[in-house]
Amino acid sequence: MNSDSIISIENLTVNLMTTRGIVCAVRGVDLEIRKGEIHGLVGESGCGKTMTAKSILRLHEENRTLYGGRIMLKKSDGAEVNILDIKKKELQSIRGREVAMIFQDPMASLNPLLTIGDQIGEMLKAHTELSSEKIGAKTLALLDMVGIKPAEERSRQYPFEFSGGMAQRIMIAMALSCDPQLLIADEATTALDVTTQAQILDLMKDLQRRIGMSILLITHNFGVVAEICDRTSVMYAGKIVETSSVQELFDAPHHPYTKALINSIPRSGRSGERLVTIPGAPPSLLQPIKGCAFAPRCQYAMEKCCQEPKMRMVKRGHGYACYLNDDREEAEHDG
Amino acid sequence: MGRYILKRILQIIPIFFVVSIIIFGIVRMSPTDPVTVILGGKKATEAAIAAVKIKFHFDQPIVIQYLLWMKGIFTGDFGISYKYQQAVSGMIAGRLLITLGLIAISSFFGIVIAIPAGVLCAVKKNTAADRVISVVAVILVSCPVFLTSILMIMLMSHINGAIFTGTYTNLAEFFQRLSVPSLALSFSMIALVARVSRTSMIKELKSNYVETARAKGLSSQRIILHHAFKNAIIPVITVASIQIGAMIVGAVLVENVFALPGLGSLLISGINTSDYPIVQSIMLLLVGAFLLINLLVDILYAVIDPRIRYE
Amino acid sequence: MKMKQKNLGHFFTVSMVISLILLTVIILASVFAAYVAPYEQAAIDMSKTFQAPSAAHWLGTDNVGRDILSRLIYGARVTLLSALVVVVISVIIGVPLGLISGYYGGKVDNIIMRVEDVILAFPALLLAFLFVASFGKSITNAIVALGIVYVPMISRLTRSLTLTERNKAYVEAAQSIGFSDTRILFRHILPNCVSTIITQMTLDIGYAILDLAALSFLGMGVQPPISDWGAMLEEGRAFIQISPLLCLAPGISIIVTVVLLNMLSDNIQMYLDQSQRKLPSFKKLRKMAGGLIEQ
Repeated sequence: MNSDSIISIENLTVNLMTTRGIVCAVRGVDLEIRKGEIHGLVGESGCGKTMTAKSILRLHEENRTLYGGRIMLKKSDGAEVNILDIKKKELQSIRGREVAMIFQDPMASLNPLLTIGDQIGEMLKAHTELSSEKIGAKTLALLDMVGIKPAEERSRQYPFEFSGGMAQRIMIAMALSCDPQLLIADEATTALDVTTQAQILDLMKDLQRRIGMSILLITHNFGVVAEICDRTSVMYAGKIVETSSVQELFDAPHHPYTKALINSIPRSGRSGERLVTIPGAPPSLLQPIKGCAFAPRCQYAMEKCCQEPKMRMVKRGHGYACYLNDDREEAEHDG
Repeated sequence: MGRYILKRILQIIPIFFVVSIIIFGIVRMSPTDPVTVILGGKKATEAAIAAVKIKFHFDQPIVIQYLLWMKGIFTGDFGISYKYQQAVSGMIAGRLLITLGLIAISSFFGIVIAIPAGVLCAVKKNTAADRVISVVAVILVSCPVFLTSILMIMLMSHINGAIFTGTYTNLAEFFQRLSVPSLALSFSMIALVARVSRTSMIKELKSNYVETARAKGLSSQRIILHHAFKNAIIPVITVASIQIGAMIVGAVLVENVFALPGLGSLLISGINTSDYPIVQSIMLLLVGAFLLINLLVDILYAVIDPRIRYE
Repeated sequence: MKMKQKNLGHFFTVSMVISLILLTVIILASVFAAYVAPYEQAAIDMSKTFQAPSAAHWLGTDNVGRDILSRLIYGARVTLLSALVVVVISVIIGVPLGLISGYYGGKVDNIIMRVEDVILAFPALLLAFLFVASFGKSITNAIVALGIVYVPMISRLTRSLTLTERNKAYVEAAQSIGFSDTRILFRHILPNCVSTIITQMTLDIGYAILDLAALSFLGMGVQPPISDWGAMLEEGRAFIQISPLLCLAPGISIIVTVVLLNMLSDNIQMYLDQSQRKLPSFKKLRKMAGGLIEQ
């Protein structure tokens, strides 16, 4: 593992049993999350980004899921563990403490029968040795930090008394309560209106800068990526097709899928033009896929593409999986 | 909260009165002439018949008869039995405790056995234990309570000769006499409540907030008991309360089979002898009890689920 | 073609097939009782009382020498038919009430709900007791009383289904075309509710069998000389030490029939709600996935 990474996902595969058969949701993902970075994970619905994220906390139903590969975590005490291997007890100590997660629908993600103060407090109780008074004080401080005021009164209220945006702030407060190294935000702003979305993103950016933790931001919205991410990985049909810094992703995308995605973003000032879409649909993950999964929809497809292309590194932390530029690079090499 | 309770009480009162009118009305529609019943089928003089009519208020218009009856109910006077010529309230008093005890003990068994069983099945979903319990539950539900009672009597008679009749002078005797009948009465409730507990628990364990709780690193025990269970119990309470209501009728059957001196057996004999004051009063009592149970359950909902208090 | 086969495969699970076949056997046997039963229902023969099961009498004979198996088959006819009538009554009244209540809402809904609240205030059999106490002991009174008591169950189910359907696009479309309300209710909304209603009806037939048996057991249902399973239990009660079969035969018949109905109802529900289907075990998952991982 590199010295500045906190999570290193190596060749992760996730196979899920469903009523329709086995779904190969993640087919070999390599992903590295560095300390202090905001890393975006983008892709269409069903491409496997949520599956990958949940695997970091091993949240899938144990009886229905088969994992392959490794997910290495560098804990705050320096030890490196493979999350897919460790026992339940150690896993429970990692969840919430080293890595925390917030979800798409904040209202459904909070227990309707418990006060929000209780829900934040129980996390502190589970992971720290603080006394009840200190837990109470910290709970109020956290609520204050995310903008829920007056904290004292609000902490005794129930989730249904809050709006969606405020509920997401509560989720963030909960997630940050034990000072995790990594926050996974799974489509955290998708269910919110645009104004609230902007507020939550600002909040996350602000907190991240203050605390210095990393964020894995899962989204299908490039606008969000442009807004706060440092680096981004693009996923398609269970694999990562490109990873790069956000600037380079927008300026010079390498993979045809990334190019097509960026092209299809509607832009102001282009009125009267037809919206660009990507023809076809992603392949079903119920069948094994041979070769490059994007080839059937790719305008640059070649014969080589029936063989799965490996990740090519442009530089450290920036790579893509496509044969497209090989000839050009070879030519540059030779010439 | 207080307003919610008040609202509920106000809803129940009219229902109670409508029910009393229905009970009274249907009984009055009977083709059997109550005077004949009272006089024991013997031929009687005009004077005797007239006396009976005055004593039992048959000479008054129907509405007055109804109001007199209702007034009596609220003052503890349940009328006079046609057959025994004594106050119905006296006949009921002695038997009330037995029927109440039967229902209470059964409900206790029902809840204390069924809910943990259901939760356990949900947590250990699809294991051998779960499958076996589910099959047993289906069979129990399909078994009519009087059949269970007969079978239990058969079984018990082979064991040390347990007695169900006899005196109820103290608490120990009370529980001893009633425990086996209560168990027989509770089987159907145990099966249904266990099943609903299981289904409800499984559904809650799949919900988003449980996923959040897992992501928070909480122990399985805390997630199951503190988070999922509280939410899962809500539909269970509905089913349990319906079952307790059904037990009111089941108690009648169990008393019949075990020959217990409760309200149920009095009701049956009242029906057989067309002794309408007994029938009317016990029916009203049972329906009233049922409505009261529903009210208590509604209050319980409000205590558990804060969303309901704000409706 | 492939899709259809898959669906049928999911419909005809083992448990569904078993319950359908056994229920059909029971129903046919009771309908054709005259041909299937080896003896007459009331064939008394005092010389052959309390006989154990034998080739001549598969389930033995009762206290007056009647063949138990034959009585069981004739009894099935009464039990099943009565239960069916109860459910039919409750559906004929309950479904339209539920549709109207859910579709129109407002005052109509309120009134219907209040009336049902009153019916619901009577624990099931109590209303039947009341009818019988007043109008006399007969199976007709029992059936009518139970039919009324079961109405709220079906009505409320239909009502909540209607409430869900009412907001859907196809209803709005039908309204805008100008279809009459009756037409929308019965030709558009009702078909979408039918499968859930059938699941409930199946369960209700089971409940009706139990309730009717209880009434007959207390002497308030069928009257002699007709006898159903509940009445048979009552008669056999006195002789339980001598010949338990008199009770066990009708008792087990009741249990088996109701279990089969519960199974059928569960299976229909599982077919309709796909998320409840059973998945193979973890070991099987490893085996199946093993092939995929190797590729």
